[in-house]
Amino acid sequence: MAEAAAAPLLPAKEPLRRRAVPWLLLLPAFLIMAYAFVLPMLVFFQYSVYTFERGRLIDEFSLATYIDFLTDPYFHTVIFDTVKMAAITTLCSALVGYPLAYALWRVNSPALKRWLGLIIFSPILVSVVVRSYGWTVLLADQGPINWFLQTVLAFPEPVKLVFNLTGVVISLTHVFLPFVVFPIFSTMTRLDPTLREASMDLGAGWWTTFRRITFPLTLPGLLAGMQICFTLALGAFVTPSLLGGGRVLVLPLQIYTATADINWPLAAVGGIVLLALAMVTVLISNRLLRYSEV
Amino acid sequence: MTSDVEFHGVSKVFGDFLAVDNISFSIPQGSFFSLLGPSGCGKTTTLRMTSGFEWPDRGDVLIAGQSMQNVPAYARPTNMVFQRWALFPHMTVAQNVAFGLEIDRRPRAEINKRVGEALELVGLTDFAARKPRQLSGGQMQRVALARALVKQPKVLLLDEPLGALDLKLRMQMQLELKRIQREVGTTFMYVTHDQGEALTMSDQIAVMNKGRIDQLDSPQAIYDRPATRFVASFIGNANLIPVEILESSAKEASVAIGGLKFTVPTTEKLSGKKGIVSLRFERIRVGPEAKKQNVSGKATIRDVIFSGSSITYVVTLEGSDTDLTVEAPHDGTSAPHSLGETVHIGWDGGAATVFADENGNG
Repeated sequence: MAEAAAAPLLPAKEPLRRRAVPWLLLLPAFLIMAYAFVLPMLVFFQYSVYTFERGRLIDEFSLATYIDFLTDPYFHTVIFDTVKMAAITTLCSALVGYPLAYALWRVNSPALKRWLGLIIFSPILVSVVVRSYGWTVLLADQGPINWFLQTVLAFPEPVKLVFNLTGVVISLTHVFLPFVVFPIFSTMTRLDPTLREASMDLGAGWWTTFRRITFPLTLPGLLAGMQICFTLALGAFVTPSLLGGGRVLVLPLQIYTATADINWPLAAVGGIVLLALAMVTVLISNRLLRYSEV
Repeated sequence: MTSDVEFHGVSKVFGDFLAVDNISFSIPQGSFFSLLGPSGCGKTTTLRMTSGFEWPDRGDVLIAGQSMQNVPAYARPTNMVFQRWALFPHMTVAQNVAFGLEIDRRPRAEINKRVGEALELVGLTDFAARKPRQLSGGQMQRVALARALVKQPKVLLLDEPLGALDLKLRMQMQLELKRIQREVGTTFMYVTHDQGEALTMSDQIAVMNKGRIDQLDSPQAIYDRPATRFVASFIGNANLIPVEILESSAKEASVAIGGLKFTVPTTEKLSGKKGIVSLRFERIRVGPEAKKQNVSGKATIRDVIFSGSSITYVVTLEGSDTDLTVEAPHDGTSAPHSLGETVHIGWDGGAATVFADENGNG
């Protein structure tokens, strides 16, 4: 008795085999992350502290590339343009996506719901190159939109819709639509439908109910969608290069140019700046999300 | 007395399902009115037609004498306490209660005063700054009540508001609801499937079954004199005993269970040969006192279930195969009867009711 009382009671350990299961399940993802993300990131950091002079890589520790990049007014413009393009795209996606998600939520017919869902999802199903050339045709000076503007609305000359920021924003808004619509839609479906009834019961019409109940409660979904859209837009490469017509000089294009010049340190610094921008976005939107959540 | 709610021949269909079938009733001002029935009986639809969330397909709903034919939910002088309370999760308790008054654009000072009074009425003054997720079920229920009452509706609609609470809390809230109703004097229209709730709180109960109102009466009348076999079986515990009908007038009938003959009240003249007598468990006496009742016989005890304040016996009536359930009070002075014992049982014939046997050839 005395001996038994002296030993503290400990919870029995689970058998080793059972404890190992979660780790085994994690292993494939972990290996991929280590090889395809962590390792390249380390190499990345390594190159970013080297310098590139007269076509030669100098592998000695130096912050010169960082200093050059961050003090060069040309790169200031590039960073500003990148953020501007991402911000406009995000805003457009939210303006198109929120009403679309609302419609998808309010539509009663399941068949219509399926079709709407498919239409929203369709941009992802088409290759980015094909989609970009499609937009080039649609938005061209002789394209259907300009034909409509000139013959029906009597515009004196074609509106420049492609090979500039406008074209890039239109195309990116189109592709990112599902990433904005589905988070919003999912917060809407999780909304208790009696909340809207309660609001109407208390005297609120449709608009007041939307403004004071539905919108604040679906804001986390909207913010999540906008966060995804913004970070995707920051890293967009193919669309700005095909539809920007050389006028939309965003950071990913600069990085590509630097790699083509085998200027690895500059490409690495550009990549790290891009990563920092994305991380700042995530940080800000997480803060907003926490604030907007109930 | 004027009526706050009137239904005139109201019907409602969902697809090909007749949810509410030509019902008419009126609720006197300031009374506690319950719609009682099993799920799918149309009671919630009736409530939602009063609030304006559903529209009658035939008939008219009047609130305070006004036809509601073209009045949307947000313009009706009714407010609702929802089943799961439907509190706005992003607003504090005070903001939830103030919402309806803000919609009406009342001055801030008036809103604050009325919100304070409403929270005091439900005893939640100290919780004004909390969010709904920081409240217990009972507290959320009170917030929902305050939010609806603060608008001073003509009629307060309650859709099974106690259904999600545990038993103890439910009993406590029943008394509280009744107190609040007396205090504010608002007409309450209460939907429930719980007969205990309806009997405890209501001035009047409408028992609904398959879209129709089977009986509309005071709780005592519904309990003591059920109008239909459904009401008899749905409310309280009753033996439904098949009997032979010997003779019937519009008021009473003489019936026989095996050799036991007696007279019982009826709601209509019974033309058939077979009937069903409804006899409440607790109206049957067991033992020596049974002989003093105007209907009495002998029976064998088949089962004894002890449940604290009462003892339930299942007995077989001598001279027939009829099983009866008897609920006898347990006062602690006498020992319960034992299994297999032959005892006297008896009841007052006037306490039973006889209906035509719908399944037989009646």
